Amino acid sequence: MRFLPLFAVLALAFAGDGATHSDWPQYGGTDSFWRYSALDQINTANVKRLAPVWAFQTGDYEMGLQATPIVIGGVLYLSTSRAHVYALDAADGHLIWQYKYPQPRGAVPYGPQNRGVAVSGGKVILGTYDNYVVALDQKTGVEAWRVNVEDSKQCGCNITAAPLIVKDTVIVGGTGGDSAHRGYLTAFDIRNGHLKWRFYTIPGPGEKGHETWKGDSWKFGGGATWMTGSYDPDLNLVYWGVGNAASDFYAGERDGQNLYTNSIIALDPDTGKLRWYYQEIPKDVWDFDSSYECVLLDREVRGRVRKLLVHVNKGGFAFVLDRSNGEFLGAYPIVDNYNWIKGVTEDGKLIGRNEPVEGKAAYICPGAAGGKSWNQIAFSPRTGWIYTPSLEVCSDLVAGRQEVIEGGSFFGGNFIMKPPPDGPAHSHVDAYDPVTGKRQWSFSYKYSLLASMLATAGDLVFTGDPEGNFFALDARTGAKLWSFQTGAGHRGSSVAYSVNGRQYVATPTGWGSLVSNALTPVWPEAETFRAGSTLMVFALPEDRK
Amino acid sequence: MRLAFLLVLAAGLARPQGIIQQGSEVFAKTCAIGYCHGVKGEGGGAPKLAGRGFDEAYITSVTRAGVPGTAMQGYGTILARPEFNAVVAYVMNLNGIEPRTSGPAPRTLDPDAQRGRELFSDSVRGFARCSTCHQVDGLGIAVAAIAKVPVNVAELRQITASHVRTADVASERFPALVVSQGGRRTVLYDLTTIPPVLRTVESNAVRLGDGAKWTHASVLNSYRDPELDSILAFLRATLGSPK
Repeated sequence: MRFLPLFAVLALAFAGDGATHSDWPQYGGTDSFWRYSALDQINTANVKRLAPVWAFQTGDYEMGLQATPIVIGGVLYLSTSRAHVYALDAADGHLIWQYKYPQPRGAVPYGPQNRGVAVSGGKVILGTYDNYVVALDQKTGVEAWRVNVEDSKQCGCNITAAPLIVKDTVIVGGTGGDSAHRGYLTAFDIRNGHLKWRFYTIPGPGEKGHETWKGDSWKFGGGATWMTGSYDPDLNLVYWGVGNAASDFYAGERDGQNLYTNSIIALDPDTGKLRWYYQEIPKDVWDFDSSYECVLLDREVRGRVRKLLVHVNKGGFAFVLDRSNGEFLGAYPIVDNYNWIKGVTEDGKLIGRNEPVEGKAAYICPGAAGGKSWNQIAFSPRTGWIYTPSLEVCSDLVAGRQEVIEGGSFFGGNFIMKPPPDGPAHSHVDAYDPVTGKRQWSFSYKYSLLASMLATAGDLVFTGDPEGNFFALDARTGAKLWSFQTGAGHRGSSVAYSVNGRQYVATPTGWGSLVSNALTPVWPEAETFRAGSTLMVFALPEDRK
Repeated sequence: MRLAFLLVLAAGLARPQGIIQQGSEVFAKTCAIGYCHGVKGEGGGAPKLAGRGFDEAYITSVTRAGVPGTAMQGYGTILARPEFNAVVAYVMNLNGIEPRTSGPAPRTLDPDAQRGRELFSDSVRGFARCSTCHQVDGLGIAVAAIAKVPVNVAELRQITASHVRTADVASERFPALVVSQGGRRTVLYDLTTIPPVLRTVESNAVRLGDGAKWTHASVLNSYRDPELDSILAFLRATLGSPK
């Protein structure tokens, strides 16, 4: 690896090293979830020469390729919607082993989707679409253990997110927030699959916070943990975003604050005990999950260096918290069109709530697809900025009381996507100062940007669009510097890594997922966005690197 | 919008029974979920299905094969035949078509057995419920079959599991339910914790001993005797009485 420029080294020292280097070892890059690579062989000066070097077609076209590849020691681990896992030579793409999870009997809720594996302790761990956690031998791909988290047909839940491994503990979340379901995180021993703990995101009788639920509503109140958390080893705290309360749009049966839905929770990874929480949206009635990534960085706030947690929720607001204690430090919108609240006060209270009403359409922005979907932001310590993907789409929402069928759909209403007030539906990538929320630049795009951001020390921000373009923006200006047509839409998360001194950028391609389909009413062109399931890998030509 | 609500109301008033009732349950957990069709086919992220004037052939064909390139997968090979037929019947019903087959007569459990069914898979208990290891009436995870329904609670509480063995693997010793033993690999459930873990080990690295101290108690103790009585009523109603 090349030596980092001095100022980058200083920035890293200041922020704690959340950067990846030759490997991309974890879902969010590292425990800190920066989605930032310290590699700079590919940079603003030479990115124009970036070219594909290999591709891998998985053959599993269900719901697109939504994964984040993991790269360790020159081996790339890739998972597909049907929980097939491939170990590939990261330099040339040749297959080392493959694992195909047996197709479950019967239908599964939310369909087959998979966003990645976690690799540690000689094992490759994944969640499956019928709600099992599976451990494979890292060298051979032979299954070591498999454990069911809950009967997926009963709970209306499954696992789509990559697990988080902390020491010898595998922590896994689940879907089910739009079903009649009570969310939780479950932890297993990586060595043998033994249960270590479970944390319910909705407190049961006798537990603190239970009083924030009316009657029996806690039993099916949502709070799914459907994405992947972060970890601070110094504080020994795991951070996880918790999803919406259910039923989603109708709260008549769950009057109260509805803890710990729409919250960031900080848990002790050894015991699963709650250390602190911060609820961004009390009594959510918009399906505005707080389930997305928690980015951990250290920055000065009002004259003092603080350990921060930056989190963008589905309502399109970024929240900045002190990650040692959950103290609210600020919030700002990353969407232009919002009317579900008028804003957030200096002490974190939502003002001017605009709630859906029973039996009548209410025009609410952002729409039910969110101001941001689950595709992730990135943070560059070189610029000090975060890079965010935003959707400018609204919805007509109708709330309605709904009978509970355990594990059945539990939206409590309905929605249809609508364009925003300021023009046609569109999306944008923006650079923000993560603390002040000051926008540094904006890159606009006419359709939905639903792939994650990748920042690199080459001062590049990579992402892809639904038309099939994989492209690089200048991290300092937002100018598009390079683009390549990969042939299928982008809904996954690209990564950077190096093997034998050569830097690669790999991106999943293949349009899919539930949200991408739900957006068709505002973008009829979505009919032309291509499904697929191919990993495309790029590098500089060898003679010119 | 009002028209849609009326249609939904009309579907609700049809008092679906038998196959349609079964179809509505499968639909709620399969087709309605996520950003898809809504429990009454009112649409949402995926197209509305109620009152669209679809005919049986179209409904059957799309349900079977899906719509390539969208989130609509084909359910022809995923759903069991009765479930598939029931979903098609339900969507036909949403489009004002009476299904030609009536399906199975709706099964009725007496209140005690129904209560037992709920307790068998009571999610409030977390992993400490019967359905963590047993599958009955389509509920639960099929780790171990119920060979014989115990006569009463006392017998249930005293069940010993002579087929549970003791496995020694490397430095671990655990109660094991052997699934398969091949020349290369042995597959067994590790019953150390609930839920059980299905483990694959090298056959030459595992030593299996007869007998284990494992008992049912850890999960059974989450139930009181009257609750276990109801569960036994459910098991008798679905698996048959002990012979």
